[in-house]
Amino acid sequence: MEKREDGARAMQILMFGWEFPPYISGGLGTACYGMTKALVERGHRVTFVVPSLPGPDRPSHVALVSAADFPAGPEKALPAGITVNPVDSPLRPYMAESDYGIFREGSLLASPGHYGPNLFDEVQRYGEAAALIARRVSFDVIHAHEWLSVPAALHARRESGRPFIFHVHALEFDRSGGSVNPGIFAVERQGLAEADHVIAVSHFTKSMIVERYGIDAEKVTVVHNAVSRGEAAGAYGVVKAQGEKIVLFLGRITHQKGPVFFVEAAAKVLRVLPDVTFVMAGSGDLMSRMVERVAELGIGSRFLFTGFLRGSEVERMYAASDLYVMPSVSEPFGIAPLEAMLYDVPVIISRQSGVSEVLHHALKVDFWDVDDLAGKICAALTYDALTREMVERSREELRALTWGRAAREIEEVYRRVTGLAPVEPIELTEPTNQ
Amino acid sequence: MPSVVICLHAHLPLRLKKYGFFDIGHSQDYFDEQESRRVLERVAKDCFLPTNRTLLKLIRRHRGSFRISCSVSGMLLEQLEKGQNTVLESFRRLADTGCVEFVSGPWHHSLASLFSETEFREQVALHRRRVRALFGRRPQTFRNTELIYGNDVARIAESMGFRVILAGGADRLPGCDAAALHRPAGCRKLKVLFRHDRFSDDFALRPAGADRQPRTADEFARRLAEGVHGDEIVSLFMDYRTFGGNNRTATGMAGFPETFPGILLKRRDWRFLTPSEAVAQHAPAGEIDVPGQLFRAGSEKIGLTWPGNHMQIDAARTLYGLEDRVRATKSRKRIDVWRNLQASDHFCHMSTENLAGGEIQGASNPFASPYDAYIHHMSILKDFSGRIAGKTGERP
Repeated sequence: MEKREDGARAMQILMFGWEFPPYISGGLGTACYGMTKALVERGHRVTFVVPSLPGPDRPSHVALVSAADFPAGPEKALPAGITVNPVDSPLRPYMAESDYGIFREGSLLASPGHYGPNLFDEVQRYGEAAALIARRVSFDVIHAHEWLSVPAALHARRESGRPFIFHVHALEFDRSGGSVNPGIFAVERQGLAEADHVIAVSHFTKSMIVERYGIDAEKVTVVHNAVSRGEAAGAYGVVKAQGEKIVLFLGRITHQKGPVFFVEAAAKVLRVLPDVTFVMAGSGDLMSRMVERVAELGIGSRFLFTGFLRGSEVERMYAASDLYVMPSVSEPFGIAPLEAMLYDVPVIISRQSGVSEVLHHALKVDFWDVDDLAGKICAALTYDALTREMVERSREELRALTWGRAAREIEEVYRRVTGLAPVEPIELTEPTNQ
Repeated sequence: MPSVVICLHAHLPLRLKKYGFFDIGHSQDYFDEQESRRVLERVAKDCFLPTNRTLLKLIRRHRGSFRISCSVSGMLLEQLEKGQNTVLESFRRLADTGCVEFVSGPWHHSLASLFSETEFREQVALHRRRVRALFGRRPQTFRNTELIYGNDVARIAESMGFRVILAGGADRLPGCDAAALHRPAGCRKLKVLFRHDRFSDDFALRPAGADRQPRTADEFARRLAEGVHGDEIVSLFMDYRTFGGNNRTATGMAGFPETFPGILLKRRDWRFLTPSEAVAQHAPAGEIDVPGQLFRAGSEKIGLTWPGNHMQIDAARTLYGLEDRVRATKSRKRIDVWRNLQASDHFCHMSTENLAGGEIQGASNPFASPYDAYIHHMSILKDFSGRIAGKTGERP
């Protein structure tokens, strides 16, 4: 145990995840990056274990650990504080094989992914490697993200006796839209039941954990995600044609994200505002159904499918849009609206999303209420004062949604489970955008 | 001899229907009569009736020494006449005691003073006529919506024959003593009486004891006695719901308004006056010059300062921009609709202040958010402007 400069206790954290920048394909990696960075800035040390690392260039602030090259060698390229360890495992985002949509929260930008056939074996192997890592690394607390990390965290706890915190970004109920995979559900339930404490990304998710998994509400703490402004943000001064308005859906085209409501609303809007262009960016198992529906409604000339977008394409897409719509059926958090807001794009979100708990300057609809959605799209495209107010107030709101804030709340959970001396509140002067 | 001037304000807007973008051109059903009636029934039962009972009791108990003024918006009077005659009767009984002065303001509880002098004068004249007809005396006291004050408002009030104007925002005027009468700049007869913010707020409904609030009527009376001297006037201006009503019980402050006048009157020298009596007995301490518009303390909290946010400005501009066209229709019905849309409440509901922690908003806003409030209001205005242009069903 070290003392931080400000006198508070620094902790060593063993984190189990799924992906870590630059090797990411979805929102979880981005979230883990922001979170660990903020924890390190508060003086803690993080060892981050991932199933595997494809390349040699290791990131930044964590010690990345992989079972592939475990025991890990010296981590020269990493900034102090964080180690990332990959475990040698074929577990990778978007492995092909089954027809099951990729599950990670916020992995909006991803192509439809698939679990491998021996997924559960791999998860177990990941877990066993974790036990080895736990023997070599010293730490105060285990922090595991998502169900895939549960066996790893449990092995590590058995090995070390340290408390295990399960961080839930999404649940099988959100991902599956009803057809729950019993194997995944079982792992999730085991993780929730055995964890010393649970962190949920929203009250929405917390209530699902309490109601559907029968977990004591006292054991679950809500820590909302934050958003980091990418370096390129705002660099795309896309000039929009006057009167040509673009309404964007950007995410996986799967049941969970509610693309069908976007299409139906588009048809209603176009009857009133015929010059609007609707863009559906992303891919997923419902894509062909959506294409067919658009054709059926006869709105093909005003409705574009871009397919899966990456990196700068995503940024460009946000920057070109006049309105972002997220009609998710079930969304544990949903980082994409925050990303859109970074580009000064007003957003409409479904009330059935965790992010609506932290956004007050967004228009909100029930995902099934297509009339309300269409009406609000029209209003946002028609009344300039409305979007101006939303955008200006959202900028202020975004400034408060930092990973620094999330890290403070996570720290509080660490303190509770470890029983270590309270972390003294320190005033951080946070950069406007972390 | 210190005086207490109390003015209780009662108002309820006509609630707007949920009116979406797709209703434009299809429905001119802007007001939710049913919901308005439901709210009125509740407030009548929980607040107006019990408060008026208390006031009547106080007046009888103190045999004319307890005097008070009431401001009832025209919009509310209209609703009472339609559906709650018992409430109207209870106001009449108060008027009959001769101890209650009824004050006048813009009929529609509007912000017309900010946008149109013609409209403002008409609404005030309407209200004054109605109050005179209902309660028997021509109002001498003027109270603008939300106590908004300025030289112009004062000038208009004087030209309409009022003798005193009630105002808020003394805390924003350096050197202004709220415990004295003032002469508005440019006026010769009119006097202005400012709300005493501290003592008025002490009355507000907060959990007893919070914010060093007086817990008992005794304590409140003691504070008044300690804080007020000589010929000073304490103006307690507040909402009806702040003064009385059943919700006081929940805050542990029940009985407070009922007992404090007695405690105060037992002390030597203290008296209660109506605003007209106060100006008849006091000379102005000095001139007060307010070139712009003055809003009362806490007006940010209820979301009403001007210029407001983008949506409030846009909605108001659109609404008052219709004035000439609405008048040109010469249709009583159209003018009434336009005026009912002017209620300040609709603009308060568009406030984006304190959303994250805003109990104030959440409690009173019938819309899910200020953005929804604006969308509904604007959709109504789009439909309405289409109709007065004689192009029913016109698309924006």
